[in-house]
Amino acid sequence: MNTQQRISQYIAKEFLQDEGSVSEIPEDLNLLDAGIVDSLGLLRIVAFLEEEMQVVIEPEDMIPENLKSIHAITHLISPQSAEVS
Amino acid sequence: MNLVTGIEHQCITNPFAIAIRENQRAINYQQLSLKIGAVVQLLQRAGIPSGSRIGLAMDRGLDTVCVLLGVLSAGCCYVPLDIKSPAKRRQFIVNDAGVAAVIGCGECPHEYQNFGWLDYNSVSDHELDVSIHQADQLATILYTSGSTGSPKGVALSHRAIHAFSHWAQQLVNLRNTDCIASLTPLFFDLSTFDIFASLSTGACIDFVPAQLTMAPSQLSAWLSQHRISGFYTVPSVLGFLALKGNLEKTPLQDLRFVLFAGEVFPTRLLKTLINYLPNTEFYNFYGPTETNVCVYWRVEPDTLLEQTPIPIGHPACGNQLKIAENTGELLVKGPTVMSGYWSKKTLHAVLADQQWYATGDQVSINEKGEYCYHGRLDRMLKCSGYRVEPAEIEHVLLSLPEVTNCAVIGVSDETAGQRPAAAVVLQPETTIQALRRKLSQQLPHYMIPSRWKILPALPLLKNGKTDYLSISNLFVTAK
Repeated sequence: MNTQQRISQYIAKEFLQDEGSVSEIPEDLNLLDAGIVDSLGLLRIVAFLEEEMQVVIEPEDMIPENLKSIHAITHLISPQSAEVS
Repeated sequence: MNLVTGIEHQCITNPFAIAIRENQRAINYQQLSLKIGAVVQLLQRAGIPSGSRIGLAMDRGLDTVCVLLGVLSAGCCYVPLDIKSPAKRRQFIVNDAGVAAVIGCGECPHEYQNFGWLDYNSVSDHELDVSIHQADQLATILYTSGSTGSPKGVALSHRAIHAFSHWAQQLVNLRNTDCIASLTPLFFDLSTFDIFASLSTGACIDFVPAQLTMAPSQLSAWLSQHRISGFYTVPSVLGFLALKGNLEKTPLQDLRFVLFAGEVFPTRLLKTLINYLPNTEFYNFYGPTETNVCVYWRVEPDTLLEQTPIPIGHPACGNQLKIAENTGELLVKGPTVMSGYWSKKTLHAVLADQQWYATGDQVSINEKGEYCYHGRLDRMLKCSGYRVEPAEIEHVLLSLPEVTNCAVIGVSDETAGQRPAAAVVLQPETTIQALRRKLSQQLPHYMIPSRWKILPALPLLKNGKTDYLSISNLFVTAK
């Protein structure tokens, strides 16, 4: 499973119902506007990225723009996730 | 004593000090008095009698504070309307409150068409006459989640809010040089500190831009640049700052005190925050909307143990506390307790004189004589400081044709305290995303379940009632 798939799967499982709904989330869907993720949801996503995917999110990078969609998150962590995967 | 007297006094004695800031805008106390006067005139010209309820269809901010104080100055009671909540919910509130008018900016939104609409943009500055009102008069009705399926109005008098704001001023030794960051929506009782304690001291309120709550390092930079000296907010915002606020590089040297309430602050996160802010005083405030703050604890950093929740502390605001013998429920009596619940356009005084208000919270007293919180006796949840009645969510879910049955419980979340989670029995081919969309038309975002389970049937107890414990376990094991 690649980075983007892992993130999609996490969001589907954590914020929607289960892994079956992965295909329901387009990679560029704005998760904040769609009401799927709120500010605390962002913190949960960051905790997942740091604990499960072994990347570090710098405080400066912790802004809605970088975490608003599956695509944005994948892009944010791509320099680091390339090293560990 | 009414709530506007102290602020009117500041307008006279402290006219050129800055009262309110919001982004690039700022007004001093003299300008504030002219804005308050303008709102009084707006209400008088519309023929609105003293004692009426007035809906505020505005988000928190500089203009809203002017309108709110104008409403109080005219002898009316303000009813905050959460502009981010669905229209249907707001319509219920204006109807239930029986508002004489709704004040907002610009055109009247369709949901308020049947209520008198007053446009704040149409007013011009006007001299303010000193207002004379009874302390028993209602100052506000704050609608919170209700267990019967509809929002519930908590009616607070001038006297009750004044008792809290005066006590809080003394506690933190509030001064006219203080600058208080304000982030709390008006329908949340924390906002009474920002508005009434700050402005009656001659301090300045500075509104935190909403988008900063999702960007903690920008929030800490903002607090530093704006030289904020006091901040009253919920632990989830502070937890966010502790974890990702970049505080090691952003010392908040002006921050004298931090007050928090609304939910339990995880001790580990509180310790992290205190390490970054060694010169700041921290206070844990406790109390449901019905009592405002009735118990408080000044955080003693040396006593904090990561595995032990912090106490809620000692009686606040001159309230008396008592623990019910059989249940351990905290009972409160005193000056900050509400006048009663407001519903169907009438005040229902639920407490007779000298009666205790039962909080529904289970507490005990530790060896130091401090009150400690242990949880709810009923199903109410606290989600990022918001009070959420699972029954209200269930009521809305069951009204949807796709939902055959449902049960809503709370799952614990380190930063949010609790989050609602729903177990649902659905009609075929229903998706959770579709359900979320429908719910968001009827419930505010913090009441939308964050976790879901689709079940063929709900587990039942032998007596036929829903087995909430088994449902909770489904969510625990699923993680």
